[in-house]
Parts: sequence; C-alpha cells; structure tokens
Amino acid sequence: MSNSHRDAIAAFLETELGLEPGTYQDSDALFSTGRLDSFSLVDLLVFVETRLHRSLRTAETTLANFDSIASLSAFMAISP
Amino acid sequence: MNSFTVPDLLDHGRRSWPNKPFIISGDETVTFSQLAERVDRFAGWLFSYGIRSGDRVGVHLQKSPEEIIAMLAAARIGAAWVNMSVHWSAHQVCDQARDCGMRVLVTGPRRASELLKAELPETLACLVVFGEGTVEDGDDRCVAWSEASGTLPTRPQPAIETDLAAICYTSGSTGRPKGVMLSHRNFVAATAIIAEYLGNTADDRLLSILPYCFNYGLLQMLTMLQVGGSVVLQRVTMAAELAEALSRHQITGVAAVPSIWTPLVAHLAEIGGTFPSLRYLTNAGGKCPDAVLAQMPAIFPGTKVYLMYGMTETIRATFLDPDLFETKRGAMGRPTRNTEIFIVDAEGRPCPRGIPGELVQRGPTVAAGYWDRPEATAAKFRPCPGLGAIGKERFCWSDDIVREDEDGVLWFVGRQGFMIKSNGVRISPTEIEEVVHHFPGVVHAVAFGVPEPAIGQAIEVAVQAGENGLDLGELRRFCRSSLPGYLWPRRVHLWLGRMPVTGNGKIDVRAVVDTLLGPDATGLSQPASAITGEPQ
Repeated sequence: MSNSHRDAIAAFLETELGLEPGTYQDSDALFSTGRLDSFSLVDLLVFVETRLHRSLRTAETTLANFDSIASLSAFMAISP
Repeated sequence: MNSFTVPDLLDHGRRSWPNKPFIISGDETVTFSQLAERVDRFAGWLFSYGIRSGDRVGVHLQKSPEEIIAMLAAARIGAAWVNMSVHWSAHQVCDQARDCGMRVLVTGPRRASELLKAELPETLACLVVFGEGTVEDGDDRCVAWSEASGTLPTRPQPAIETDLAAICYTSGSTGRPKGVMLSHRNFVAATAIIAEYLGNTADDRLLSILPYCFNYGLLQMLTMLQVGGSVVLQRVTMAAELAEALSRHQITGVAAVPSIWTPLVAHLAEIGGTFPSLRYLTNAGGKCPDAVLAQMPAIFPGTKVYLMYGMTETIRATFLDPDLFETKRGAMGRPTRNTEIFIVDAEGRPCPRGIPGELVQRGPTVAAGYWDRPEATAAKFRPCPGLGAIGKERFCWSDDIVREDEDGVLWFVGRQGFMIKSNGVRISPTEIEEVVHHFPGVVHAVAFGVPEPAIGQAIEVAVQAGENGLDLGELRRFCRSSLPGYLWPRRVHLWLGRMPVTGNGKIDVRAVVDTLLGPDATGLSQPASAITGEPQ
C-alpha cells in the first residue's frame, strides 16, 4: 500500500469531507454505509483525478475501489 | 376507497399488500405493514412532542427507510414535511428551517453536531438523530431516533386533500431558495397520473436513485405506494454500481437525470449488459443529450423510454409516449392527463403552432405557491389574460420556452433566463449543446452567453471530457463544421474534473457559468477549474 496515497486520501476525507479524525479505521466502509454521502463521493472522484492525477475509467469507479481508505489506497497503488 | 391524501396511499398499501416488500435497502426489507407501523410510531412521538396539523417537520437524511418514515409520519398527523438535500450545508439547512418555521428536524449525527454548534432558529427546538455516530452528550435538544416512538391518539386530526403536505425548496441557483408548497391533492393527483402512463403495477420494482427532496425521485416512491410495488434504495450513482444494481435486483423501472444517464450509457456501451426485467426507463430534470438518447434502444432493447418534463411547482407536465421515441426523440411530448398546457407570448396570448413561447400550465398538480413569498407567488402563479375565459384561472408560468410541432408534440427550446441573445438573435443553449455532445469524448456541455457590447452576448461553451480527454482545437473545428455560423462558440472551456451538480443531481449550470465568469475567470488569471481554448 502506498502510504503517500493513504495519507493524502485520509487528509482529504478529514479536511474536505468532514470525516472526524480518530473516529474511523482505514477499512471502514464509508459510502455503502451512508457515513459519507454520494456527493462526497463525487468530490472524492474529483480529488483523485485532479490532485492525485489518476484518470479514472468508469469501470474502475466502483464501491469496491472507493468505499474505504484501505480499498482506495490499494487501488491507487496498483493503478498506472 | 379513493385516496385523497398521502396517508390514504399508505393505508391503502397496508390493507392491500401487508406482507409485500415496499422498501429494499441493502440487507433490510420493509413491508407495507411494517412501514405503516413504523410511521405510526414516529407520528405518535411527533404528536406527543406537540407537533400538530400545519407544523413543519424537517427531514435531512441519507436515502434510507427512516427518511421515508419521517416524511410519511409528518403527513400522518397533518404536518408538512420539508425534505432538504444532504448536499446542503449546515448554514443552508438553518436558513431553510428559519424560513419555514421548522419545529423538529430529523437528521444524522454529523449534521446534528454541526447544527448544534450553529445558532438554531428559535422555532427549531428539537433534533431527532438517526444513525451511528456521536452527538454532544446531554444536549437536551437531541432525541435519538430509536427513542422517538409513541402512540398515536385514537383520533388524530387527519389531513384533508387541500392541506399542505410538503414544502420543497428550489435549488436556489437563481437566488434565495423558495419553498414550493405542495398539497396532498397535488401529490395524490400526480401519483395517479404518473402511475397510469407508466403502467405501474404491484410487479414493479424501481431503482430509486434520485433524492426524495426532488419531486421526480419522490414520485417514484409514491407511485409504488399506490400500486403495491417496491423501491430499491440506491445511494451511490456510479455507473458501474447502477448497472450492477439493475441486474441484481431485477429492476423493472428506473428514473434518472441526464448527468446520470450520460455516464451510465457510456459505461454500458463499453462493457455491455442485459436487463431482461427492465420494462421502462425515464428521463426528466433536463433534456438528455441526443447523443445519449440515440444509444438507448441498442443498450436497453425492449425497454420503453419515457422522456418527461415537469417543474417543482407542478410536479409533472408532459411526457413523450415511448412509441414516438424513434420519430420524436428528444421531445417533451404532450401534456399528461388532467393537465392543460398552453404556449403563450409575453402577454399571455397563444402562440401559433411552431412559434416558441412560454409554457403555462394548470391542473391539480399545480402548487399552492411559495412559502411566505406572496410577491414571488403572484408572479409565478397568475392568470393568463390572452386565453379568454379560461385565462382567468390560475396558471403556473414556467419560464421555459417551448414550441409545438405539426403533430402537437412539444419541444423544449430553452430556459428564459439562460437564453443567449447574440447579434439580435435569441439562441437556445440547448441547440448548441446538442451538437457539441456529438463530439467524441464530450460527457457534459454547457453553452452560455457572455456580455459583449458589440453583439449583445458572445457564445461560449464549457465541456467536461470523458476518460480519454479531448482536443479543444478539434472540438472547435467540429463546431465550425456542424453548426451554422451564428451558433459558433467564441470560446470553448475544458472543465477539469466533474462539473458541479445541484442537490437534485442535475448539472448546476449557474455554478459552471459563475465559476467561468467570476472574478477569477474574467481577470488575468486562469480559473483553476478550467482550461480555456483560444478565442476564434
């Protein structure tokens, strides 16, 4: 897992999407549980594309890849 | 027995299909009788708290069974629900709560914490908190959802059909949001009209993507309540997730807006998919690009495509019969049953067939007006003097410019405030956007006018590109070869990332234009969110 991606993702979720520090685990499901809403998901996609410079294909934009910090970090680590 | 009010629809469902699933949300299934029991328990609590007929109860929750229960419970005791988008900030929620004199708000723990730190409106003395998370301990303004349960009095004052059922706030893209007052009669009439033309039955299972603060989404739920069908709650709108949900839940009907259809159709065009249960799909909330519509029959073979049009102020106005989809693709269709529509000029006189004019509507789905906004109400809901005797009735003036073709089918031309006036010609942004959408790689397009003293307004276009990007120079050449000269955009902006959407999931045209024309864009610096092509 790329720590730099993990830290950047966590920082974004905390500062921009209001995920309270210390209240979550990296493996926590964020969107499927409704902890973060679908609009936050759109913000996260924009963050990945513009700030992490990863162009997303629709087929990759799934809950399996985006539902938790751990899954998104893993996805970023294996992506081109 | 006829249904006159929203609680009548619920009672009808409880009597007719007690053990049939009504809500499917993740692993949870709620039957009609379970729904009615849970509605009664929360209504009982609201009543014991002191909520009475005419009071306003706020609902500000993620899509969930509890969101539906809270709305129906308010209606059960004659109060009005005010469902506010989860997209709204705490500040906006406070503004709307203050505007309508809200007394109770049902929300999640995170938003409750934010609201408690802000200055709550005087009328709002209680937050009912649903969901996992922490709220300030010991704050006596909070009640946990699990504890908000009571017994209805044996004879609660029931609503009658002319009572206020809900206040639906407009998106506020053109100023302070206005609270549209919708009665039980509005909702029950719209439910019957829509269920009839969609042919809804107890066998239907709808994928509920759109929020319930949006009438288009709400009416999916109400129609299923009327006919005994089911709603599958879908929280995320990723194309791959939607395709999977359509298949997994054997969905029979789905409603979405263009900003959802565009990526979903692109995704299915790439990976394929079969949906043998899907009986129909609908589009409303904006004109779906022709490039997207054109692909639908091949992607969804055997599925009826309904193109629909409505406003928050009238719920629904027109739909295009699916049998006309091939010959009238992109049209608004004809008025729904029990609805009368005219196309009129500025003085309210009917326009000759083919001549664009403003759409005005009357019928049982037209709202009572705007909450506490008599001047705005009088401007929007008024007679139409050029129509003779019928013109003395109350019409909703849509602000939408429409024309009727030789077969009596209506076509959307443009939104009054967004029409572009260039070189003395009134131009519909839609006309330009439709062509730009045909350029490979364009996901969303927004055309708009920019003040230009010599010609009135110059045309500019913002585009969001797909996965493979696009070449702005090629796009400009495409526009020159595909559009008549008076429609050529002077400038094309490539929007970086995804375009902003409103609380209803529609592209927020005003926000796009404001970003591009705001101080950052009009000064020397480049806007952070867009790359601008060279002027022609």
